[in-house]
Amino acid sequence: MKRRKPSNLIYGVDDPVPFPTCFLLGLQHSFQVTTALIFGLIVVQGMGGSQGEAGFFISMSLLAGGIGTLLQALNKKGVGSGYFMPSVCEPAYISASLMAAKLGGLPLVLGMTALSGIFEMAISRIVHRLRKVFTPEVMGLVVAMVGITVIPVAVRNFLGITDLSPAINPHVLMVSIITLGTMVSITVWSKGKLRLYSVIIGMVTGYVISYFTGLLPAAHIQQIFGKPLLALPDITLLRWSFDSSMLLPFAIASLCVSVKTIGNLTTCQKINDADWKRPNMASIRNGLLADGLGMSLSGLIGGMGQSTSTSNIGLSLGTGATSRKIAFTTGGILIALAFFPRFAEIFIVMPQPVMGAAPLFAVCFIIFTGFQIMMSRMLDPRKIFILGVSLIFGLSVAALPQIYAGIENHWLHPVVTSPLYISTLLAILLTLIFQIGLTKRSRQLLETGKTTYEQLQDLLEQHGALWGARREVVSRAVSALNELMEMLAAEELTKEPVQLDMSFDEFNLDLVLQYTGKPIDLTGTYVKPQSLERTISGMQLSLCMIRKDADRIDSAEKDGRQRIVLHFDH
Amino acid sequence: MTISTKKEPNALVLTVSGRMDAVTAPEFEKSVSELIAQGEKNFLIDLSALEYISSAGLRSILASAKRLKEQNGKLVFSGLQGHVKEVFSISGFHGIFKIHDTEAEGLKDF
Repeated sequence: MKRRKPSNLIYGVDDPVPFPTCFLLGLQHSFQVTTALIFGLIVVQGMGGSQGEAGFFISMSLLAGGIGTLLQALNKKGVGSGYFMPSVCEPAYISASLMAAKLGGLPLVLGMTALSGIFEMAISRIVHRLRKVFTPEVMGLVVAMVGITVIPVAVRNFLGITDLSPAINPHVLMVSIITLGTMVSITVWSKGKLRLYSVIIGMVTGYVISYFTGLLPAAHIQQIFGKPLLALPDITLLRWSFDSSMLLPFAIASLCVSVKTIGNLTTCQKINDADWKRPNMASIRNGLLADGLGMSLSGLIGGMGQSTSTSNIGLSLGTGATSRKIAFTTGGILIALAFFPRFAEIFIVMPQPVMGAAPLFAVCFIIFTGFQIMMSRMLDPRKIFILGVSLIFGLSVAALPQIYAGIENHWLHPVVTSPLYISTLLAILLTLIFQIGLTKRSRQLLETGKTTYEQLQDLLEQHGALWGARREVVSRAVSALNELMEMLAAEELTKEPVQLDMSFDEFNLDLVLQYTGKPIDLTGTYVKPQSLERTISGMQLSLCMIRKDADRIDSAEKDGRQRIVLHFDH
Repeated sequence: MTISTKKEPNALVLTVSGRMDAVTAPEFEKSVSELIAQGEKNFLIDLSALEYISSAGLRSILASAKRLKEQNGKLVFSGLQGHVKEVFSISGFHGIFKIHDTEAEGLKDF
């Protein structure tokens, strides 16, 4: 795939990076990835498992993140998009993982995580058919709801609330405010590269103050140093189990993750190609497959559900380095960290204020990134209802959980207790319903050999403007249609008028031409001339040029009437 | 489509602008034929202002080039942009013709 590197990138996706720079950038990204371990910790906390299970879960999440990062960068044999997109603990899996943890402990979390990767891999096979459903609005809503779902856990920790002590703890709240304040201050007011480390600096500050104020007991510090520096993970903890009642929540979670990953892959395509026009579905398909594979692998080796990190993509854009070489370094560092139990233990003893401040900081960005994606296109009444209804019912789960408490159906219950899952399902359902009446159509008759480029241009541009079609797509359609009309005349395939049926919806522009006459030959291939003396096939040259502009050309014959379809992705 | 000519010491510069399709391509072919008949042998075709070219345009270029070769003439191109540059590339024309970025560079070829 040929692409032109944008001028704001120092190291583009295909560029080599000198090793010292590559290592430092990889280290920086690895720091960023470790901040998402907080989502793994939330699951561990909800699970109430042993210290050993917690350490194992965190180490294996790091290992899975490393492998996932490598798989995504691969782009070999249909696996991986070839972009640098680190894998992290995915917050969209928190709800499903917590449900599984309460029902069947760590083995059920792992078993269902492995299974949900298969869902995502299945979605990757049909993603090109789901473009109508996975709109930017739905993607934005999912991203925002991923953030909103984390709020209850993050706020409880921020305020120092526990099951045993349901009142706000002023002591914890004070440390939480200092921790969050440090992260926010560095992000807002610092200059240079310090901003890139705001979360890590804030977390370290939170740990230090917690230590001096007694929120991080000395016993926890001893616990860190009690762990070996280097050791193989304790695979005796590795067990899997499955429960049919967990299928739906994990399937919806993987649907949410797929939607989010498509958004991330599209962002990567955009930031790495100065001439980017529309999503490359082959790259999205391969990327989703790698993401699903990473997810299943994570469940199989004992980690939390993993997916591509939006914040790391932002970091690579901010540093101007998106080279896949950095992916291999980052992946390597993450895999290595999994074999340092002392490192994982630092996260396991995380004091409550840090467990509140760090996700709260991340959630601010996640929610408003989602809103930005939602608002990136003009919102017409259809989109407003899709987003509005989905958002309202999603938020109602968080605000008025008692409404849904009576729903005891073991399939429905997990769905209606997660704002993310109910919003995603509603948004997809409403998007499908609102497809009704979306396709616009028009029919024209074109005179063979007499219709000029200008006439075709006027016709398509007028309809394109009326339907809201993108200028670039209309321009390609004009070129392809003109070439086809010229070919019909030059090759004397018909002398009769050609019936042109145009149809347009948000994702497709189709031109269907019907005429009585001879067929076009789509089976041949155009052979480039090596010298002036070589004869070239007029029809194959025309078809070669049509294929340059159209995303697909099909032909069929019925009762001597020819039907040619020029399809353009929109 | 408009065609303007400019006589340089070593070659005749033909600047083609607008669109070269089934309607306008014969006009290009006819102009080149007439110039060949007048004794011109070295042509620099400047396509920097050409917005669109169809396969009919390509075929007329090929026909003109063959005619010129019979007269031991030379045909060089310059200034291809966007759509036209892409068409020359996918059709393989960039492999059988000499193409320069600018008119000045093209003139050095004669």
